[in-house]
Amino acid sequence: MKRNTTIWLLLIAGICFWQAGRLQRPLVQMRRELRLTTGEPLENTPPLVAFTTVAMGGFRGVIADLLWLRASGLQEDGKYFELVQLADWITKLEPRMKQVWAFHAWNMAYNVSVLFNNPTDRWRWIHQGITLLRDEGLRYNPGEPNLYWQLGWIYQHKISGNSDQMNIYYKRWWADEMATLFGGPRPDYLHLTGSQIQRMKDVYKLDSSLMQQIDREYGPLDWRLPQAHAIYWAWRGKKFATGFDTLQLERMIFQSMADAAMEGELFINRSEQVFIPGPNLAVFEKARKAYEKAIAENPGETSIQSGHRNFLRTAVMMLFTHHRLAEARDVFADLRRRYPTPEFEQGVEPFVYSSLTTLLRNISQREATGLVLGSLQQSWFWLAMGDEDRAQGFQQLARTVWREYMKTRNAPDIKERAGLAPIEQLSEQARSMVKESLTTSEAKAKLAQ
Amino acid sequence: MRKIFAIAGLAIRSAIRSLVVVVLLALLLIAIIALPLTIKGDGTLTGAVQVLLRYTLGAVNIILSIATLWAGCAAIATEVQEHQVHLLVTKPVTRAQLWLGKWLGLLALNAVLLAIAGGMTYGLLHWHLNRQSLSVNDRTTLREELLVARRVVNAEQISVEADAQRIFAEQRRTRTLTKEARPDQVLAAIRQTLLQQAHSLPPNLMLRHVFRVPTATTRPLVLRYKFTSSQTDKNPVACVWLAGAPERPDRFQRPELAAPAGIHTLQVPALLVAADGTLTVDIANVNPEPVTMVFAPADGVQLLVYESSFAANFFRCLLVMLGELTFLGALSVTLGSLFSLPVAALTTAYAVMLMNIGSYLQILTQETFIIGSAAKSNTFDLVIHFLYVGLYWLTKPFQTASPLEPLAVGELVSWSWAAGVWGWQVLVIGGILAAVGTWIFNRRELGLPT
Repeated sequence: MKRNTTIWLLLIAGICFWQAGRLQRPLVQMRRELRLTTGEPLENTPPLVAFTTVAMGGFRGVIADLLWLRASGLQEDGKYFELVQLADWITKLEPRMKQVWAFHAWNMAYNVSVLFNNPTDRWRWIHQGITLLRDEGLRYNPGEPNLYWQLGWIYQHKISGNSDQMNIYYKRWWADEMATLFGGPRPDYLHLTGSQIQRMKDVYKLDSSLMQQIDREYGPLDWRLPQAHAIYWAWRGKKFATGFDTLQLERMIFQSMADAAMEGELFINRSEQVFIPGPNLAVFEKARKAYEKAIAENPGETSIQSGHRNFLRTAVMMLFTHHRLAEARDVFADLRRRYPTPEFEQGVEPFVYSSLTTLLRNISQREATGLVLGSLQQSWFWLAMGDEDRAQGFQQLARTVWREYMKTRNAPDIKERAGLAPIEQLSEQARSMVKESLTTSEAKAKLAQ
Repeated sequence: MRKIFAIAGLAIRSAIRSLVVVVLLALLLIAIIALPLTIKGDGTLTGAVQVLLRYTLGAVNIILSIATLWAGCAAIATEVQEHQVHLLVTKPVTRAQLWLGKWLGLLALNAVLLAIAGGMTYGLLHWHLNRQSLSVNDRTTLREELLVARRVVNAEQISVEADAQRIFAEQRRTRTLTKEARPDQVLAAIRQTLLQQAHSLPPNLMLRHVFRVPTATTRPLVLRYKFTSSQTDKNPVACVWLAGAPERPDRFQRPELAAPAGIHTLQVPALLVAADGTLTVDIANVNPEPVTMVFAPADGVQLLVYESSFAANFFRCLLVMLGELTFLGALSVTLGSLFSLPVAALTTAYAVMLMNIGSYLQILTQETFIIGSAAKSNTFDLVIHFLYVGLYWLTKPFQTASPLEPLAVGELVSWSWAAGVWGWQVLVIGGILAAVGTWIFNRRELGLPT
């Protein structure tokens, strides 16, 4: 009797399991259709995640809260060593909640990193934030556009921007890591080795075919720099985005394109210990197009237009100082046509001069000397590095600043008190300063001429 | 005493027979070996060591606490329920001896398991460190900052009492205070403001701290500091640290660029301590941008002084843990002699939870309203408030900090701490619990028909 009952119970349990298995697929399909979750159901999840998300039921929220309280307390006391583990557990307890991933990544990359004096320590925490989102958050929420944006934001703002005083270290370390991975500024897509592709995919979650597509659309980008990665993650997030998320990701793309145009080409001279992210004029036209596309797709968004206007203004100055006069004129004409204001009614040269004049109006003698001398040093430096266009642009800028500054200080008494030294004298001084700072004889020889 | 030991022996034998010890040992082994492999540190060697110590011993403590709680409650409750106690109480043993025997059995079991777990953790830590090829820098950090026991010394407090009283009297005289203002709260607020002012460092000024170093040492002293800045961003602030008497020619001087809210340390030679055992530390705010540095009055600047080796600290930490487990054993055996097993276990778990949320209870005691408003609290608020206050004061004597936190960061777990736990929690509270437990057990009717 007892044995029969057991057999019957086992049979009923088996039928229930079989039926539950049959219902699984239609339920997942319904969930997808009703957009109840953006990602696929969790498969092959680590046992810890499977256990916490299924077995603990509603109690996992309470445990997550307790862990969160502990994390806050430890952070307050400056005990950071547990934070990575606690963030890992908290996110695993709520793997589908995007805000939890976003908060912990941001907390590590922004809040914790700045508590350290040493750039190496800071970078480690920024890296923790990146890996939490990239390797874990997006794994469990592959269809969540906001997480792509959050990840892109760390590249665009924390590493590429200059709000953090140690940003140059972050740029350098990221560039070194990427240069080691790609063997240059960007992958040689046609000759990528199997191990390279594997490493890109496994460690950095970079899809080479997608990178190639982005390069075709927006590049050639320098993939050693963070802007390229901000664009990559925004691009990947866009296919899942709707409404505000789309706008946010598009904004990330065109802003990063603008950043890439302004400082998206890396100049590295290891023998001279030089690491300078400079303008990437090759992507300038594509950055312009990215703005234009965003304006066309979001006609009511005035913020994009004002961003575009600022971008064009800066571009005119940049092209002018890089001795790309024809392009500067073309961009200026576009600026004048799209945003007709009195300041753009004059020609390109008067515009550049008046912009400088506005700047120079209230400048002190010391600041003007610094500006002229700095531009001249830049000019000599780039000449030594073999970039004659850039050298000429800076030379032109220095002379313009000198001329405009001295225009209002020509009276003998003012000239003596607040005037600048002759431009040739300043230029010679700048040359000797640059020459002294160079270490290779090859570079020095270029300045000797 | 022989009878007590005999009962303790019986309790241990029963635990071994019921596989409790084997299961516990297995769980402890898993915690000690598997946990460090799955835990993520912050990517540094010091982080890895801290996580290993904190989490491994933390897991050991949790497992042993749960086991003690369950075994303690079951020790008498199950025997009563299954009538085995009838065999014991008919023998020439008092119920006090029975209670003490069960308690000592638990203590012995915990001592052995904790010794095994502690020994393994200690061995594992050194094995991990020895198999890695550590840089000189890493070894120095471990030796001087982590695998060490340092006493935390706070700076001598600046007295603001006279000024606070003067300001308070002035405010009363000029009738600046409203009728609703409570004098004790006003005075406390004035004191707080003055203290904060005394620990603020405006631009281009200097702030002095004096430390009384308790023991002479040749090892470098470590200054640990944390501050907030008047700037909203978190840009590092330039400051200069000077240590030693101002007239000394060899005065220590170190410029620092420190991030606000972070915790920073710097080493100071021990020979700068004056003959009277004091160390003067001056901080100069030299930041080019005008910014005020604000140090917390209680622990904004602290001095860490070498006190003993890591091994001794580790031993004291285990001793504190064992003391806490023994107290938990006393509590659970007492409740087990009063209630049935499930009720006793739940009550003990609730009591333990209350003891561990002391800091939250303290916050709640400061709330005067829950559903009413600050202006008008209702009866419910009043009842809840008194409940929280009652719970807080009831559990306060049992609230102790975890010794694992200081152990993991190289701070001292002192002998006085261990003595405090054993003296207060084990002897005094344990004694009271033993008396109460025996009294209840004596009055409990064991021969009731079921």
